[in-house]
Amino acid sequence: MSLRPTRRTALVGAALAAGTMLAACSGPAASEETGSDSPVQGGTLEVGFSEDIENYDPHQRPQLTARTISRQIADTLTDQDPETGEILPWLAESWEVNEDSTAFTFHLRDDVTFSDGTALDAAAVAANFDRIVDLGPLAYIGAGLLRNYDGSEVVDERTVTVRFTEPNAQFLQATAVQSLSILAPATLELDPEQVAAGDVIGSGPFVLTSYDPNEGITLTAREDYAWGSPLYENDGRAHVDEIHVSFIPEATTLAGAVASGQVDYGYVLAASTVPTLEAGGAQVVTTQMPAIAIPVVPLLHQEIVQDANVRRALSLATDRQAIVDTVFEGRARPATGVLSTTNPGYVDLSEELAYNLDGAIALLESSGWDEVGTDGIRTNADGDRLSLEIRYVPGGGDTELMLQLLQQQWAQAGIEFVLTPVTDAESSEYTIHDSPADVTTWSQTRADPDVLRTVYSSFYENQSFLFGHADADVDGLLDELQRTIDPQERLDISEQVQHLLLERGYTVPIYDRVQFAGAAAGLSGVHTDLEGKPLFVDAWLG
Amino acid sequence: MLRYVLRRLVQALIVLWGAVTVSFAVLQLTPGDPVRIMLGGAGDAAAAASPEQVAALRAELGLDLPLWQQYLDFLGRVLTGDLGTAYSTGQPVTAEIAQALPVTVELGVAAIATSVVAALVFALLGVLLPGAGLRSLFQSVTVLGVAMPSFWVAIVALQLFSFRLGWFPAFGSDGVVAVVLPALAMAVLTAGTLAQVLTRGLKDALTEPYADTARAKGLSEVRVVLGHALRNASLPVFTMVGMMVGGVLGGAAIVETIFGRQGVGQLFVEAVRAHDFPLIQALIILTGGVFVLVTLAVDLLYPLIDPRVVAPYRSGRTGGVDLTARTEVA
Repeated sequence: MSLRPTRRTALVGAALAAGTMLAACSGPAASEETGSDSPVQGGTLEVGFSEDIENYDPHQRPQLTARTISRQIADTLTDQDPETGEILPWLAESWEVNEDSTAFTFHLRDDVTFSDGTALDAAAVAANFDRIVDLGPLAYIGAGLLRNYDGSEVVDERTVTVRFTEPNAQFLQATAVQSLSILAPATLELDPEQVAAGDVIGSGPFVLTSYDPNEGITLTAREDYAWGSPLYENDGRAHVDEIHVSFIPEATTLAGAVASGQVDYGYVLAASTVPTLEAGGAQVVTTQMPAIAIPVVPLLHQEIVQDANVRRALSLATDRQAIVDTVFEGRARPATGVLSTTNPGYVDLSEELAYNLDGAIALLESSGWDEVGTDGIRTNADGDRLSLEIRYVPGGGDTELMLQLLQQQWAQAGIEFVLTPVTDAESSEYTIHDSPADVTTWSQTRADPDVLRTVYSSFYENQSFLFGHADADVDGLLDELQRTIDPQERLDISEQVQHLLLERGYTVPIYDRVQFAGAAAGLSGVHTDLEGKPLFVDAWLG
Repeated sequence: MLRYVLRRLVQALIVLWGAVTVSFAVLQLTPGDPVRIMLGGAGDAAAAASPEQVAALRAELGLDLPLWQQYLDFLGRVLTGDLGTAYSTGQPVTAEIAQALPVTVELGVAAIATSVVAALVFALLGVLLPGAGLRSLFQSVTVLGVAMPSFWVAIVALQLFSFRLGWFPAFGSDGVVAVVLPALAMAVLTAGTLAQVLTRGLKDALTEPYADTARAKGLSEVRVVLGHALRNASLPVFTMVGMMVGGVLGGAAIVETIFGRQGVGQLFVEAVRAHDFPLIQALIILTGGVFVLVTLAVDLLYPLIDPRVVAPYRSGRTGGVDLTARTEVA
């Protein structure tokens, strides 16, 4: 799970020729026949990140680039198949969950060591979870995944039982998330600031050997690595000797660096740079994020959107296909559900998301918005204008373009949509419960329907849009979700919830988030995990 | 002279105190909650920290105290040499800056050296080349320099010299080759300005009586320019270079971002974006301090270049050298 957009598995072109990869190529990812078919050993992989790393500690606040590093240097108890969403064994070779999802027992592999030589054991796992809870606000994502943590019991050297005071069915998937990476006991004893600065020891295929920006950020392959995730093609030592990381915040510089071969892998690319890069012969790695479909969400403390008809009308007045065609030139998919197609909890609700301008107008008129002013905007009997405001942080460009198109489309139905750009700093002044805006947009990547529970329930003040505006039906289903461990039952419940969310207009999904990375022609084998982070253990330079 | 320097240093402290106080006030007045930004949950982004977590962190950072107390605490820490820890990274701000500073110093030195050399070449060619047409061509080229913003030069240079020709890396701060393009991007604008000032000074100087005297003695035009006019014309250039040193950080913010250099300029941009108060304050103290010291150095060196200028510590004036003094004395 990550707050910043990440991306689903796609793989770099040449791997297709080899025909050996687990993951599928999604979307229009380029598949140049470049590089060699069989892995080449050695060499230094040059990587360019779009964002500087502020904190190397995977337990602390989430940042896409930092998590990409931690994905290479630390492992997790489980991994998650990007295709099926299935939870796969990794550091834990098996597990049991008790009846009411309050106790999770993991049986660890017996051959795993951290890069400082200490062995992975049950006590180390327990110490990791204890630390995350102790970090509290510094580790708010991990601490959220461990909500109601009661403690970890070391049953024997290889067996640990994690207990919760309340049902916590989402925890199994959470053990595949970077925020719950298993770090060496020596790292856990350090001050959080020291770990944040880069003093991190894990059991991953690479070791962070230099984290001083002036010396360069370097990861070195671990010679004795032999416990790769089942998702890794190569479960032993990485093919390359070293990874060298640079930070290139300017989008055109990053894209140019990939196109000219100055970096082998550029992550994350701005959508606007993709066409040029593709034309230049570099490989574009496209990942459909296992997230929520990017929505516009009504803020229920505002009276104007407390009317379900108005909320539904917003959805009916939205022509999603037109938006993705313009914003992403066909590289992203229109939303066909509350979750994106690559989320394991995805349900196809495209019929409910069809464009229906007449339907939208009918709903608005039935709610008393039946006068149309000279400016084309509807008013009601009290003379109020049907005007909605959104506050957004520009920057990316994609969001802004999407909102401008919505503005035009909604105007057709007589809805005024006011776009107010704000800075990051300004937006930190208010929460989703006291924002002066009427609707908002957001994204969160988590490959589990649990994302619905945290966000569309009324359970958590900091996370839930319906906090203070509880819908008993929605809450009831989402509460059940947390108590249900059986994957099929979880899917059934999440499907019912998604229907309800659309019917009652609690969210207006627009498009499935997509993310881009670029690989130079000479790079082979890189594929990505479920959140789109590259897995460099499988990469080779040929 | 020692007393003068001391007095200037005390004034510098007052200036720094003022800068820090104003920036404290400005940060309070501009919207933004450092704790929420720090926790990554800016505004509407759900899945942020819980209200209890936000409150705990706020207390930990002392941001729940009354403003006057935050301000006094801050001043107290600065006086004891403790600039605090950056919110965004949790590292001491001194370490953050120490890490970034060499990258910017390298860029600044390279950019200023390039500007000065380029300005000298263009200005000298602009007055020495045979033929008024050629001379005016070189003079007009310097206008182009002034007209090209550094971000534009940076992007063009990247496209041409890095992406197309592959002569220089597009990013990073690894070695001398990496500094070439960013230094060029920063130097074009300042070189243009310097060259214009210098050309103007040279042309003025060449109409002065002493230039005629020199020519009458049979000196070649080259020797008149190099031996007499250049020294006179270089005074305003000298002042401008001093100002440039102080201004390197502003230019570096843009150029460092484009070229992915982890320098002080980029650090500044990040700090402001994150409302990272301790880091912003430390950077203001640094840049203000550099500016004050450079101005002082320029003032002290001035009489060495032009003996006609009365040293400020003798005249009792404390400001910079008054350029009009030159013509009066002459």
